[in-house]
Amino acid sequence: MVSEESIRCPMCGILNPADNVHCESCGARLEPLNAPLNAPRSSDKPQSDRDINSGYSVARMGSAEEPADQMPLKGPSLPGSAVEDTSRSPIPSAASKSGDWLSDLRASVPDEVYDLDDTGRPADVGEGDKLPGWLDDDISVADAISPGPAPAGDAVFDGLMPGDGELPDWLQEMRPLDDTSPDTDESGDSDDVIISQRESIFAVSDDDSDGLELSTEDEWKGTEAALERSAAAEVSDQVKLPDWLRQTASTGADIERQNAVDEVSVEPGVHAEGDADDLPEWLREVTQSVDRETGDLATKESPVFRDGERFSDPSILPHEGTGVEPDAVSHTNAVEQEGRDVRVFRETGQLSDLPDWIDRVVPTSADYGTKPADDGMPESTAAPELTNLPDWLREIMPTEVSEELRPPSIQADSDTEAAQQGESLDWLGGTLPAAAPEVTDGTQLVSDISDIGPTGTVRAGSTPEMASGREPGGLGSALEETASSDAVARPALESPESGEVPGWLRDLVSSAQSQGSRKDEPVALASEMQYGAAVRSMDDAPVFDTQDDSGLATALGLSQADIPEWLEALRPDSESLESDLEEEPVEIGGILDGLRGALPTASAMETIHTHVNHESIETPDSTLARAQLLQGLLARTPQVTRSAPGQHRTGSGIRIGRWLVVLVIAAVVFATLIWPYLTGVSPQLTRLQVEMPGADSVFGFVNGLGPSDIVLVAFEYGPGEAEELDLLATAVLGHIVAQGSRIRIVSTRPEGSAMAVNVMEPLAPDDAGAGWYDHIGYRPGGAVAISQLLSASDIDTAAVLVLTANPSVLRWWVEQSRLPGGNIPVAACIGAGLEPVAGPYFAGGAQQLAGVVSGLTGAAYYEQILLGVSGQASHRLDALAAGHLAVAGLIVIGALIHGPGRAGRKGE
Amino acid sequence: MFSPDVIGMGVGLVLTLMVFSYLIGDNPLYRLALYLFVGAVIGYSLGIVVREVFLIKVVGRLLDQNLGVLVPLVLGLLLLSKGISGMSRSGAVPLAFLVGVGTAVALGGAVLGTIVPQVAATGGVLDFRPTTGMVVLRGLLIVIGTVCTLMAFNTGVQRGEGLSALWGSTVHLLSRVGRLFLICALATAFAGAVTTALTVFVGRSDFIVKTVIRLGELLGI
Repeated sequence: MVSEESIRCPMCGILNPADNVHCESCGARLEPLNAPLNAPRSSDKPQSDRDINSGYSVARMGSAEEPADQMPLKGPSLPGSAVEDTSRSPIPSAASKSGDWLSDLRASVPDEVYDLDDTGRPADVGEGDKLPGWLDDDISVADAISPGPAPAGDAVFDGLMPGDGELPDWLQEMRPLDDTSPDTDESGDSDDVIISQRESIFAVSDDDSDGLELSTEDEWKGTEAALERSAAAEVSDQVKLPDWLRQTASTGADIERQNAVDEVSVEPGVHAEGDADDLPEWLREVTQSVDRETGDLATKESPVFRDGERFSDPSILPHEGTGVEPDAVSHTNAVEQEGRDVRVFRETGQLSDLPDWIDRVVPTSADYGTKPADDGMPESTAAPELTNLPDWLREIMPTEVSEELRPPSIQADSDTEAAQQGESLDWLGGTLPAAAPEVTDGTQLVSDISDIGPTGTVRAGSTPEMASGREPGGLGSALEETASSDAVARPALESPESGEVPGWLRDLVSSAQSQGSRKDEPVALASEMQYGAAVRSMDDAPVFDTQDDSGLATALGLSQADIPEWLEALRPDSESLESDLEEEPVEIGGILDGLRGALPTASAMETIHTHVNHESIETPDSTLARAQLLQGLLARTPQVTRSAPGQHRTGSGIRIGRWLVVLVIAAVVFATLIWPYLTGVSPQLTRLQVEMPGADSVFGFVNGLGPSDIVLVAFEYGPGEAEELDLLATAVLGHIVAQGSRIRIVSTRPEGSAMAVNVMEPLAPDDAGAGWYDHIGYRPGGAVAISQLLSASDIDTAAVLVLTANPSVLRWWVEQSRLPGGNIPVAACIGAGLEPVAGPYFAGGAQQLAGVVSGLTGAAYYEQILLGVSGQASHRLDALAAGHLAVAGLIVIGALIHGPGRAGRKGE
Repeated sequence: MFSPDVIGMGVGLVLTLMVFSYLIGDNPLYRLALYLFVGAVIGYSLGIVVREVFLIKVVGRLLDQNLGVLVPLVLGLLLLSKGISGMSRSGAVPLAFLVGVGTAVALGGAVLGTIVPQVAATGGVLDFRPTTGMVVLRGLLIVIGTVCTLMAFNTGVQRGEGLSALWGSTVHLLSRVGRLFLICALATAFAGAVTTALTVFVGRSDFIVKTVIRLGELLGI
């Protein structure tokens, strides 16, 4: 019971003296800035609760007796006509404690509202302080706003109501369900209702676009009287409500009062103030927090306890009729976010901050008869025992919901429970906007859900608490959780009885039920919302399981395509992907908000890195010098230099050494040659006692020739080799001539014939004629000539003697003489330098040469040992031996002189 | 008093000294003697070819109504066209004939006259029937020397792993032995070249001594 001398603080609920302007407890302003607390009250007929709760309804009705020149009522807030422009809403002065405030308000109202013509349309009214005539009369507010004269008595508004046929449908719905509401004798409750109603009216009057325009003080007084009558009716309906609920309604009115400035439509609510003593501490905190947050509450939803679990995300609740369960992932994540609270609640059946009354209401795990789930998922979402519910809660619960939830109270089958929950939420599902916009933010969706009103433009702040399902104890925390998007609030599932459900909400329910096909839309919307919430709450990026897809493809008969190796190489492994995801930054904006590693392929793909060589390109001077030198050499014109005769200059040391070598060798040779002339005695520097198998073979080969044999002698040397080979030729050919064999001379060199002539002439026997030997002469063609010569069918050569210092010619003769068709023994008289070449043909097992005589030593051996004569070769052999000694001595001397120095240079 | 032989000995002495003048460097006397010798050899050779080939074997046979000699004659004339611009392509025919025939003869002679007999001879030296061990040792030396010398010119073997590595190491070792045989052969050839040069020098020195003595005798010195 509230005395008239005390004023209850709308913020904290503490009673204060009537003359207090501010609350003694919280310091909040006790009286509204635009409504005097001591406004005169009229004991008119109380209006229906609908009229009381919706102040705009009163104004919207108007008066049937209103004169044509009176201020017409501006159009009500028709459904669908959202009012967005609230900037021109006049804010009453704080000093409007008495009737002065109305003058101020009148002055602040734009002049256009007085532009009324005679037919009731706006016309020019002149100055602002000039009131119309109808305001001068002491008429009630009903007279002021009704088109006709207001009937007296309690049924004043009944008379004001036009006929059913005249009212539109939406206005028909506003008709009071029970026009004969009993009066109330509880003035205190009536005062509370009046206060809240007054606030609602002022909230409407602040809006100059669609709301009612009350411009005069008398008009206000009339309105006050009507409000008092409607408050009486309101009190009669709310007399059954407990005090705490009235307190809650009071807090809701406060919220609405704060939000009414920005809102066009005011939702009907329960405006009743309870006793301050009955208000629990937690509710006071909630009230204060709500007052502080005011408009923020419009976009937030409090957690909802549904079947013993607190759901902060409406999207995770099953929807009626669809049978679609929320996505498991998002549901799990959402529940995990508040799993601790849920577990505690389900295990203990109560929350720590719950009052006793709600603790009794909320079912515990024992009520469910099931053990709590470890993963936070509700194993049983059965409705609690409705028998434990208080009567008031059962009364406000929708009839169909209570009918569906009663039997059975505990259902073990979660599917059945979900279906029932979906059915029970039918009325709420219909509250979702018919054409829900695409939203990805759960908070926005909650806001959209909360904004549902009769016109679809009602803000969350005007959502009735019974619809929002706000749990008193967890309201503040739930708002915080909603703001952090870790858990999305879910609207209340409980619905009041149909008689208590506001008309706009009932319309929405009916429209939603009629649009059954559109039920999927909120579900899909909720799924998207919960997906966004789940993704946002996830720490890691979603992992896509391709195994399930492959299994599905196999079931559909699809064969798996062969992925090329290069594409397989691009597939990121799980470890690297996880590590990459950990390194990936979290998206903080846009539709990828909250995602991590939204583009994982970027890390899997090998990116091309452009390496920039930052090394210094400074080139050392030495490199530059070499480059310049090379460039100069390349640019220089090549010059072929030919050394002119006598211009070849050598070092003096080399020339001296060369002269020393020449002088030594020449001196030794000349001395040896001259020595017999001077002394008459050979120096005898050589002893030809060593066997020479080649010479012995040639000697035996020649000894085997008979007088009838023809020996083909090939003179294959020129004047340059004549000094050496002439001695050999002379020795061997003399032996052949001595044997009486026929000599046939041939040569593949043009000068060979001359050499043959030079050798043969001294060997001519005394009785030999001009043609004592055959001279074939020159045979051009090299090996071909030799082959043709040896393969001739008319050749009767018994042996071939080759005189040459050329290895090729020797090989030709040896090779062609061994061809098929010829098997002529070949002997060779060669130079000393050709002995290594002729060795394999004689010393080896091939025996392709019958014998080999080489050099001056061979000639001397052939003369002195075999023939037993001292010839020219033996004479020169001493000089050759002396020359060999001189050469050997010079080599030793040169090695002794230059050897240590060269070794020293190598060591360095 | 000065017979052609004495004159010839005198000219020869002068030209020999002119060639020896190269000991003091390249000089006109050396070059004069050099040009003289080259010219004499070419002149003498040309005379021999003209006489021995063209006059005797071509003209003589043509005169003998042997028309088959026209083929080598035409080929010879085409070969001369190699030195004439615009007709050098016609000289390719006799050149190709010469190269082809010469290569065939040389190749046949090399295979049948050198490679096959030498390979057979190298294998034959391993016949252990000879009683003396020196012959066997000589045969082994010839085989080893031949194989190792051939290995010394092998550059295609690379060291690998396993048997390939063993084979590579063996070839590398044999090639080193073959290089020793090559060094010995080159040293022998160098010694023979020095001996030949020294023999020529001795012969020229003996000619000079005999000429000087002869001229001294003629001059009464």
